[in-house]
Amino acid sequence: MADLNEHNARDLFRAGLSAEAPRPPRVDVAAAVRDGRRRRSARRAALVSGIAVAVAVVVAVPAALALTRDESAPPGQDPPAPATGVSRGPQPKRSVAAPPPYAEPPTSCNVHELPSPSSGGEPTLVTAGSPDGKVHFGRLLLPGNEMRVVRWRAGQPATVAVQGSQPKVNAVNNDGDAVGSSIIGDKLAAWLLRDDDEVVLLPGGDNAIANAINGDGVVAGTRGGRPVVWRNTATAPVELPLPAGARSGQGRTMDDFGNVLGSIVVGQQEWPYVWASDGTGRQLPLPAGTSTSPSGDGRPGPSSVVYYARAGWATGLVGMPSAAAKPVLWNLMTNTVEVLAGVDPPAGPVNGMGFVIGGTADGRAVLLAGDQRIVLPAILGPSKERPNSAAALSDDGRTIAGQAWKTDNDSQAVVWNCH
Amino acid sequence: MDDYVEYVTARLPALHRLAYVLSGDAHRADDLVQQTITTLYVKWAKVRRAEHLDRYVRSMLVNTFIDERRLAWSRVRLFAAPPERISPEDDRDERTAVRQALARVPRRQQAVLVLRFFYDLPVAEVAEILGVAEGTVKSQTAHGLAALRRLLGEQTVAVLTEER
Repeated sequence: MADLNEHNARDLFRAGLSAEAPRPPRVDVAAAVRDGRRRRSARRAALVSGIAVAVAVVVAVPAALALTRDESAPPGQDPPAPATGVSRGPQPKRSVAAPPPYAEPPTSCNVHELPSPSSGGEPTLVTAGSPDGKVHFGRLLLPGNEMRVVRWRAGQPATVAVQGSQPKVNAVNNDGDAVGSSIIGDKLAAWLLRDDDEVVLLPGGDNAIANAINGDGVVAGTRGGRPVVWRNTATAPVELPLPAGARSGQGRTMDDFGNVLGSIVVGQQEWPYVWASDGTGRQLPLPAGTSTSPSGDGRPGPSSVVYYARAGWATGLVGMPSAAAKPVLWNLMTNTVEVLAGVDPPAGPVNGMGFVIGGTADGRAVLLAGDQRIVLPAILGPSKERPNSAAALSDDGRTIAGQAWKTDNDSQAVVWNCH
Repeated sequence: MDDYVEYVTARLPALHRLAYVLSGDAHRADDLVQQTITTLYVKWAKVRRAEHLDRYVRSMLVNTFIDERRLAWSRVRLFAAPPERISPEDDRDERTAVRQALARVPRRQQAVLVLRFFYDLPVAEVAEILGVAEGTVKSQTAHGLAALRRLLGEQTVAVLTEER
């Protein structure tokens, strides 16, 4: 007899339900902040004036009901209180002042040198930063083209020993786990550098570049002209499928939803592409008017690539591999693309709010945040020959790291603190 | 409050998975997560240092699901010309059958069943998430399983629970 009971119900639910939606989530954190702030200020207004105002933005909750609770309620009942740490007692008197503008773009930034792990005064630069802005990785450039990996935790430097020459960390997550590649013997090798300094050579990582690691510790990269994903450090990577007609592809970046983004090459043309976590793939849109015809002179092109992605946003470049290329920002939720003004291609990293960092033709590093464009301050006046560059942007848009020139022949890793 | 964006961005995938298991619909899952993180913003100053913040946020989402206004379109999709009993023809239909049957039991029972049997959470934790007594979780489990058994029929239950 097939009975359904507490012992076999798990089988039924595991077989019958899935947690993986058929498409990536479309959730807008910026909208949540905007609506939440509106709801909060509406409640404040009601508390101050004693007049019930409609508090609901997302779902209508009668104002009188909302006001009987200690917080504006979600539809229906409040969840139980967290176990500890949250006072359910009398509320502190609330200020009517504007809420903290953390979702607003910063208006100004200061530049600070990141200390060098060496006393020799050799150049340093930043190559990657964690989304929370707490950990940065970079390189120390020693005489004779020797390089060391440098890690800054809360601004404090230390070199980290990694096998091979010319090591470079390409990405780091909020756990402090980083990925990168170096040349070991005569081959590229991909590795994971754990927060505790252990270096794990990724299996099947010969001739591979590890470009990205997401919040779940999944690693994406490129091996032999194929996009690959390491789901763990014990087994060889999985090759992501190329669409019909494509001869190669690259996995350049990955987000916390498990989407891998990069490009595919079809004939002489390269197209921006996303491999979703469910195994499906799609080409990303190009801005209206982008030339899609081959260059005609035998050179490859056009070439459009995704370089960075975060929380539904992606950046890169589209167009011919020449002065005509354009920096772009894709919104993966709406499948739209916009050309970014005021920054040279390619666009740099994007954060969870859709803010983007990049550089200009005259050597300045900039932050683009919605309609705002903030020029990051230089130490030495910027110039085309000595460009300052930004390489890492935190999710809150407050911590940016990169490299700035101190003198005509000395560049250093820097952090820009913005507010 | 900068840490709100950081926290929410990091938790979005897990929240969306939970919302999708509960609702079985990507659009509704988006709505549930969006509502949850909007409410979380309003409460953030108070809850950000909570010891079990993840559990608290999960609880917000589950309760939003339970109390969600029954939107017209969700009824249309799930209840239009409901079959008396879902009789699957292949394995894929059996999976659909579980989803359809689940959608026809009361919301709170749906949540109890998903948390207990998909997420494998103990009775005490489910009770805490829902803000009800452990006895309520047990009785809702029994009622929910009985309803599913009725809706699915013996054959489907047999196929989906056989030793694999």
